[in-house]
Amino acid sequence: MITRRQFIQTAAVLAVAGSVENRLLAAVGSEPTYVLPFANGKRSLVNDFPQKKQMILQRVRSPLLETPFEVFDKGVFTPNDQFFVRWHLPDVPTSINATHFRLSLHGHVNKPQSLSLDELMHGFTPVEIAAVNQCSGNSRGFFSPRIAGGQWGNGAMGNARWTGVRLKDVLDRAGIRSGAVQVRFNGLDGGVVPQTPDYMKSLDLDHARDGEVMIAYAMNGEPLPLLNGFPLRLIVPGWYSTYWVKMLSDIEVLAKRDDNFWMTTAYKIPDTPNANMIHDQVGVKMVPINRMVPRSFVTNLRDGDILRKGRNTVVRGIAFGGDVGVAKVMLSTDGKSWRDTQLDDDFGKYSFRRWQTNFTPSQRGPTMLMVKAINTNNVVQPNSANWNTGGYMRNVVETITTTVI
Amino acid sequence: MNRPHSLCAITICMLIWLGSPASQAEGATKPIRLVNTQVTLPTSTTSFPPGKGSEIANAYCTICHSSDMVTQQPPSLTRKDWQSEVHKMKTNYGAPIPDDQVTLLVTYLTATFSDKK
Repeated sequence: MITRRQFIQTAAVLAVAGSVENRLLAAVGSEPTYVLPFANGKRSLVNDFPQKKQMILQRVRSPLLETPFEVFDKGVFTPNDQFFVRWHLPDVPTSINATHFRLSLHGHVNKPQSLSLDELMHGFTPVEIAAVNQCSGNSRGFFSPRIAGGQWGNGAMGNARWTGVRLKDVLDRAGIRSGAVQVRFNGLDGGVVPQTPDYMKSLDLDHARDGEVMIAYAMNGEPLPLLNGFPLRLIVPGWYSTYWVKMLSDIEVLAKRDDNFWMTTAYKIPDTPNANMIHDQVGVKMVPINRMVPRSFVTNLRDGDILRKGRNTVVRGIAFGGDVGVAKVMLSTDGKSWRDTQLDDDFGKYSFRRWQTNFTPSQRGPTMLMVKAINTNNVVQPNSANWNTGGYMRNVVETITTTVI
Repeated sequence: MNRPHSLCAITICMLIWLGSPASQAEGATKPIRLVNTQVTLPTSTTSFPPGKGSEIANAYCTICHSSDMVTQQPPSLTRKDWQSEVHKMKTNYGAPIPDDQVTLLVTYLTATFSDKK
């Protein structure tokens, strides 16, 4: 079982760190690093990306920034300035003119549209939804055997309140022509060599028109940070982040299925339960990644923490159901029996849900805490980890090992 | 360390009031204003570690991405894995690595970053 052992480390302060807060503070100003618990997992903690506080640096160009896991213990919503960042292509625009920006809607429609931000914000009914945005490859660093790609810990995810307009309403303004099958989304980012395929993703027409998929202009009540897609981002509740196109500037209604590289070659998963396959398996049917699956994490304790026999300990964390809500979150302290935990406020089925319970250790020694979510479709996190060639969709039951003294 | 050193700055050029639909819907949250936004991204100051073939990596890999993407890969990747990555970069993303330099690049990547030589 893979365990999570993330801690802030500096040359000077390592063992003396106390609370999570202290560890973060101790690291400030001394070239702090963050150790993700897998081989070659040492990363810099950086503060110099625009509109971002301290983040785990996965790549400078184009930016891959991971949320330090401690952030998830602070609240059910992930702050914009510590929300993870993932760009595919090297040309990320660094300047957006809010007056001149236009969202183009064209293709298999009756009335092509070119909408200013003002028209988008005033011309449609505003909606708000809380939803988890999670990278398809979140937790890839824990795959065994390891896989090339972004070596994320568990922090390539976040939960936000997204404000914007329904994609359905915008599509209806243009009038979909009969025979349309998919809707393709493109952002302002691009490659620097002509052969690099532009980053575009598509949704089936029925999905695009389901009334939940939206075009967001705000995140947690503020404009999106540029690195999270300012000024507009597609929000696809319950689906992996690859579809949440950033700096959304172009929507094309297609009369045939999208055959672009990012739909047909990249982001493919085995069409099997839990997207699981054997390492050298050949001939597996691959399909585009799609709906998320449930996950849960302990956020206030970590590997190596000391608990005291006979003393009550609060254990708390976050969970999400994937493409539906969380039904229950259960904790096991012996790997066999599971107890229900108490779920906190419900911010909607696509949101993180905080949970907590009390645990009074009765035996000294190493003690594993395992947490498992079940969603409202009765999908349960698996006890063993999946594996696939892309390093996608990890959602194994998480375990941390504490010591009771 | 792959530590970017350049400063970042957010320059707000001009304020544009674009209304507050969220507040109209919620009645409590503050209005959303979208303004011209200009940022500076940190630039990578690192290059590939020295070794025979590092000049190829520095010449071609960093056209599209900083070297940290490579140096942070798992040490358990094999020569076959690196071969596959280089092939992917050439074929899928158009990395202009000359055919006659592919073998040397793969040998460099394996020798430098893999613990299974």
